Amino acid sequence: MKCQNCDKILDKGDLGASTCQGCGDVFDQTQIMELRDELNIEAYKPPEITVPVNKDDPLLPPESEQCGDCFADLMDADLESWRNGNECPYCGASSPHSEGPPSSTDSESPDTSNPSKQPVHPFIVNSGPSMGKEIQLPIGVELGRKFLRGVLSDTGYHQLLSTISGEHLRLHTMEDGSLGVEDLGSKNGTYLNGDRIVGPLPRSMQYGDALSLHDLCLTPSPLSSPKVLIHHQQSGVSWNLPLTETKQTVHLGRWTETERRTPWYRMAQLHLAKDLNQLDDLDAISRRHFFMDLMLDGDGVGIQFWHETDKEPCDVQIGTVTGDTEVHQTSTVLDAAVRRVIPFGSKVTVKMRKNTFSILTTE
Amino acid sequence: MSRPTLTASLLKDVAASNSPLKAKGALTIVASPNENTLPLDLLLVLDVSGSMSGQGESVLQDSTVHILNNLMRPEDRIAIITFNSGAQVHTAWTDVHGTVAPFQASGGTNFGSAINEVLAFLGSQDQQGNRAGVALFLSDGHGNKASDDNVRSIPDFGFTMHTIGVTNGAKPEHLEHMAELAKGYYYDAPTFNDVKKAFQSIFNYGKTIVYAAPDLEVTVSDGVVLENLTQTPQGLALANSLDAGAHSVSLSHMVKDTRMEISFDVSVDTVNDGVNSLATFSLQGATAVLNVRGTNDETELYNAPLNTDVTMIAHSADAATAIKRGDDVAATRAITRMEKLAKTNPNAGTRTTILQDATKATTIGEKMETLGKMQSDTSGKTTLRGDEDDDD
Repeated sequence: MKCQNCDKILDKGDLGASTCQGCGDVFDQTQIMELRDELNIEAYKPPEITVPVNKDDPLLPPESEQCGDCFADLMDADLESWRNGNECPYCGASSPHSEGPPSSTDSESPDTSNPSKQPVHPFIVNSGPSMGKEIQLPIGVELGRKFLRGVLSDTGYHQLLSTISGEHLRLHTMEDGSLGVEDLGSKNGTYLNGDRIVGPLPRSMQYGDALSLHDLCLTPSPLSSPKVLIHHQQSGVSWNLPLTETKQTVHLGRWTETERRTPWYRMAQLHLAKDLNQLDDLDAISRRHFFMDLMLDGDGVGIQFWHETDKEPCDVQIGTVTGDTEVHQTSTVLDAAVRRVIPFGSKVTVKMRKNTFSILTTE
Repeated sequence: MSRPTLTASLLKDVAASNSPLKAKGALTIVASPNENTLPLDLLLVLDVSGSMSGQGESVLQDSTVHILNNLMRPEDRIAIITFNSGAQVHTAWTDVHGTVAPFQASGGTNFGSAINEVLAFLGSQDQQGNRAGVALFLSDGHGNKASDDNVRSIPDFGFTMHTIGVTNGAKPEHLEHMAELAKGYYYDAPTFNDVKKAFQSIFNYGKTIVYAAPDLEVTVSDGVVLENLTQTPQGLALANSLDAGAHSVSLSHMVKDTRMEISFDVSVDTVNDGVNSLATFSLQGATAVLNVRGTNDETELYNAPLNTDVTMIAHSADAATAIKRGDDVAATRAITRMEKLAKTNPNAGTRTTILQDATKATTIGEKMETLGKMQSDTSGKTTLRGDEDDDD
């Protein structure tokens, strides 16, 4: 290899100085790599760094509960005392575990009792440990972290709720009677089916929509209706979908039509963030891939799968579930031309490129 | 007195021991942020040959009055030398309260007389310490050439000289060469209407000076030669060759909140095992030593990282020098190399963009002016000195 400036035949001396020792011309990285190759000098590898993580025995955060008033994380003896109904040792707030009614002077405590005057609407919680739980959210008032702490008291929600603003959103009854949502300038945003809600005008919601307060996903639900539980096995992400007699399309690809991450995919990424291999498997699903059309149909659920024209179909198995027993009946492919009505209590398993979804119908 | 920060580095801080070495090096100088700007002595050296009569005369009058009335601070001074076939002091040092007599343009253009008069004028004045001297040489033609040695000695009086080429009659290469010898920069004024802007730009530069044409003391070790000392990013040639011994190198003015960079080539007869001190740089009470460590460990030698700042400064010097001599191929090669460097040194990105703009300029005057206005902030990011209008 010659110097590009003076045609000197380059040797180890030039490589060591990263400069032509004939004319002083400085080499760029490409020249250095080429010269290394020519002189059979192994490419530089940075020293390997051992990640100090013990996968077999990972450190777990201690069990804790947060005081709703001062947000202190109560652990060990404090937690035990708190769970026995004693006051918060830091601010004196009364414990929700105490038997007595909450103090009337405790204005900071979340008021989730919903005075009868306040209209409410049911939502299904679709993230965290209380997945599938139905909660009532009041319409026309500012909703935020404090209120949600009251209705989602499980410690598993601490992290999810910490990303929600104090005044995050307000629900509205729209002129046509439908349910609407307005973001109140929250820090981490309110998303409806993956699209961020901005501006002062409320956005109309439908049953089954995904309302995401950062990483907390809620789905507006009719007061009482059959549901399907959709579960992504690899990440453990599940979400309920209330069924109506109107067809609802569920997209099980990664991106929405507006090129945002679909709500289930956002959640799955969060759950799998520490396992890069599983993240790779998750990304084996195409951005726009396969879809489910779901609707109430007599005594069961009308279900139909379809996929984008250039994508392969999924393997779909339909079985019944009795108690803990699951019996596979068929293994078939449902495509756009085939629609089945499956009775409540059935389980549909969909396998797609290293990923498995199960869909459980409940009345 | 607060001291500047000097940093001297080689492209790689290790080298093969018991071998000769050719390498690139760089010295960076950053003034203390607490340093105050100096009062300005502005010496205008104005061409009043026949071609300046009419519009040229009135532009000079307006621009000079503009400086006096709007730009000068109470502590600043101004003096004017005019030249045509000969040269004379038109206005001796005066402050903001002074007046300027009208200019009378006639006769030929003799740069040599003008520079002689500048030296005589500066030599006859009592040196006033701790002031920044800026001479501004304006011409719309190319007259008898001044002696390089005479121009080069202007910084000995604490002055740097900047040049303004007015209209197509001026030869930017010639005027830029004079500016470079006197550690100044070239300004382009394609029409008479651009003269006022150029005056203002130079004045704005003059009032931000913290060290007036400081001398850099360089002690080169035995068996070592430093060559092609070039101030970047402007590409100002400072010295051709410094061999073993002590040397003094005149620098251009040091401007507040900037980093002065000096690129150089280093030749070492033999690198010994362990630390080798190649040169010592001193300025305003601060010192930096240029070291290289000799090693026999080939793996260490090949894997030692390149100093990306030194690389950028070396490529920058190559690019600016090539642009000045009109070698577009060499300039493009140096700029392309710097562009690659931007991945690991973001400062190279900003410098690449400005140098590319300089190469694309339509006239040689614009190219020279762009180079002269390039400066590096204290972090190494490249900017163009602004022409902000203080009063209009």
